[in-house]
Amino acid sequence: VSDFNVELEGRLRVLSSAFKDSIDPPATLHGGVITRTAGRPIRRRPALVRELSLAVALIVFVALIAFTFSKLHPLTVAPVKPSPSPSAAAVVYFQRPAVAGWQVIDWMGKLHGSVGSDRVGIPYQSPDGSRLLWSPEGVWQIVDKSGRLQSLPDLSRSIGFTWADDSSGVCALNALSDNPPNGGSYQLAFISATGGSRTIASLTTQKSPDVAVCSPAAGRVVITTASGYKDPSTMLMRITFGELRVLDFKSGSVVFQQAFPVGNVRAEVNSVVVAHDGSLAALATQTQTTILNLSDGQIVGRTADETPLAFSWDGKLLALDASSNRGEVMKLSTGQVVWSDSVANRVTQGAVPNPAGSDVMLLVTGGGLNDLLVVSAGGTANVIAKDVFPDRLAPCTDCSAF
Amino acid sequence: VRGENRERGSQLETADRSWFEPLARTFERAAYHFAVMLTRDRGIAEEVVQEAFARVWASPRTPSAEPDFRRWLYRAITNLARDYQRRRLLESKLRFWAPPEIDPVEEVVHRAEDRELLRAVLALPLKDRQAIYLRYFDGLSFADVAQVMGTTESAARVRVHRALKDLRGRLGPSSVAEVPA
Repeated sequence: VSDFNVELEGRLRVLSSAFKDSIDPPATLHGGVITRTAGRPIRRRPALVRELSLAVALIVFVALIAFTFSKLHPLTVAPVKPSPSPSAAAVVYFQRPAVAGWQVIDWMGKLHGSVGSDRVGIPYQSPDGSRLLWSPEGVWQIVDKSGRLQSLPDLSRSIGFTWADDSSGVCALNALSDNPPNGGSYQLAFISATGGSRTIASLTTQKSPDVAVCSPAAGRVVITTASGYKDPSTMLMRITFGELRVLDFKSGSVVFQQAFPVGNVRAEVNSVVVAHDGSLAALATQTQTTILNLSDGQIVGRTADETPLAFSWDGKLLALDASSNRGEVMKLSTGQVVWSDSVANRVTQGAVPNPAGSDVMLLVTGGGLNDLLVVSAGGTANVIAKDVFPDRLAPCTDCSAF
Repeated sequence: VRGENRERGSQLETADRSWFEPLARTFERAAYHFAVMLTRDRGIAEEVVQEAFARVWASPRTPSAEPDFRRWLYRAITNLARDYQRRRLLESKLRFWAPPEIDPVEEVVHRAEDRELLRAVLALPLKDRQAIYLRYFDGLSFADVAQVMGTTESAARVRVHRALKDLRGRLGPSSVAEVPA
């Protein structure tokens, strides 16, 4: 074996030169680095005393803003038809650099062993973690949380899919004629986790579609469409959402549809987050986020310059990425910020709701891997895992743009 | 999407970061190669490298000494590459950027003399690909491989060894000639 390795190591070193000689960086690389870097402020590391003072000032400031906001923008969220929550405790999966496979942790921070290996790629977990979708060697498999095979879903034509909120299967968009980023014709199907599938609807779109929500219990599927491009002046990627469509889960008929403005940079929608049951959507432009009731199209609230990340399972909280890139959790009925990240230099990458509770999990980072931070409805925060790489916890809100 | 309206600068003008741009010039090419290996897509690699430099610039803890800077940069690239993989960009690609006729990585594969080996390396899981690249393409010591990967030296050795074993399996017995001891 060692002789084989010596020969193989030699071949790899020779290959290295060929690889590097064959790949010239694009001419735009350096300009892009400088342009993007010039637009990025250096995060400062203040002295402890100053940090504490700033933290106190920030808390007072946030409280003041929350109070003012609740007075100026009263939110009257329509009652949300509750969807049944999974009975078993929900879990999430993550990797640590030195550990093979995916470790299982519940929302209280208790570890429950591990599943899979590095061969399975990055799994898509169902909302409660009872099932995983992964593709070792390119073959899609649905497995239970012990890694036992449940079915082999055909996702060969899928351009996007999302777990059902009750973990019973996935809603998948199969391309009939796909012309990204200009949309095309697609077939929306529900693929059961235990095998079998049925077509829900056929649809055509003007931009690339993705499944934002799949809720058999609420009887809704939410489709969003988007496209993206790289802004030449900043080298930043821009996402533009085209529309949001709510379909009946059984009949496939359109029960709600909202088109977004295109062409006006300030008015275009750059981020869309939908509650798991398709009852609410948060639509973000450059200047504000609008909370929309997806039953009647009524605007139920607005907040300024923040990117929505996730609704809590009960639809009462909204996790946000504030303009300073700090995580926030807002109570929708009052607009009150119940929690705001006070840790310096920590950025929120994403959020996901607990399907067995009202809390939300934020994926936060100081520049390296993620910490998993659970924020309760009461505003208490608890780090349940540090320096980890999470699996695909939530639907990818902007995937269709690419 | 933020920062679109920030002023575009031809140079970085923060006085206490005068070391950054020379280091960026030094490591851009190497960073790009590393990103291509991890993402297997040149468009995504460019995006990853630009964002990685922006992140290390913005971090107050970024070291200014060359070896430490590269390690810092490579970790940022690794995290971003994995994050892009998580967001499915690898599968769907940046198709709105006028796709080239030939996949550039495929082109490299065609041009490489040892195509079979390059295809096998590119087919490895990300962590194995990262370990092989750092060890044999960048010639790092196991200690340095471990630091970039955020693991121990012994774990890095095991990772490289397993990746070599995987490569041998992918290449098949006839492709790896036995060398007399």
